[in-house]
Amino acid sequence: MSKTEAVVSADDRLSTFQSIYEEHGGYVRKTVYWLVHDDAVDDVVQDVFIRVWRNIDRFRNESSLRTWMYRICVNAAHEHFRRSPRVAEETKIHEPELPAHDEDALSMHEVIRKAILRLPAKQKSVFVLFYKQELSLEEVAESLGIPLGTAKSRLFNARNAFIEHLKRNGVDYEKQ
Amino acid sequence: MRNNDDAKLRSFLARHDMPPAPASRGEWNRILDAVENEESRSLFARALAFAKGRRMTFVAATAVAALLLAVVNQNLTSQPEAPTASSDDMTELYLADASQYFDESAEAPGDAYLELIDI
Repeated sequence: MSKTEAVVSADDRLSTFQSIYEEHGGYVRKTVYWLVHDDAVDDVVQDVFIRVWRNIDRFRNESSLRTWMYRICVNAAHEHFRRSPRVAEETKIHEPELPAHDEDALSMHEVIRKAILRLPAKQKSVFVLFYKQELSLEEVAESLGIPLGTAKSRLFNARNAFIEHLKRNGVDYEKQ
Repeated sequence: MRNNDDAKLRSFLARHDMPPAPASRGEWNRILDAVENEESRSLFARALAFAKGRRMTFVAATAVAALLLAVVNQNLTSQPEAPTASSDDMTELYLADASQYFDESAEAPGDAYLELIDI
């Protein structure tokens, strides 16, 4: 590689990285928000983009960048809980800090978020990608690198656990 | 039936959705700082691997790696508009220059440590 090529390549890499951040940062944050509690969102989003940086050359040839980004989000969230198992446990009783909104909406949002955060990690990933990010089951399976049948099974269990949690809090989502 | 249930649940979740707090204005800079740290560690690891390949002692290899990293970083930051080579190339260049000061055939006690460290 010539000196000029080296410089161009480095500039190009940074420029590509910034484009990815600007284009994908929004839904990355939103996805991470449903996977980890508030205190960890910034750290996990940062971890996501460090992973992007490490693999940026592979990204350039990736046809479905968004699918890959979702996988990185999920992996970074899992890694966060793996590094801090106590945090995973605390998530079960964590009360999310939310900005001030309409009281009813805030209350329902809290119930929903708590129900999602309480799901086991693998079920939670499938649930968030399917119901919150509205991916198809095939896309969920591809994003997570799991067989379609596994994705279906996890979604089935996650959905039941989620609805059960809502019911325990007096919420029937079909009547809301 | 199942599709209908899924649609209902999605609709319910969408109705009660609230966006997460937006990213702070400094997020991009923090990410860049983290990437820079990542690159520095990576460069240091490569320098150590090179030194290990040259069978330097652990202390010598670490010292050389740190020294070269400092030189490379200074070089990169002092000439921001005209970097002349990639970090990899520069590391190799400096290590090649520095290697003349070490006896590559020396069997030092510290060599054993080099086999143990996880780069």
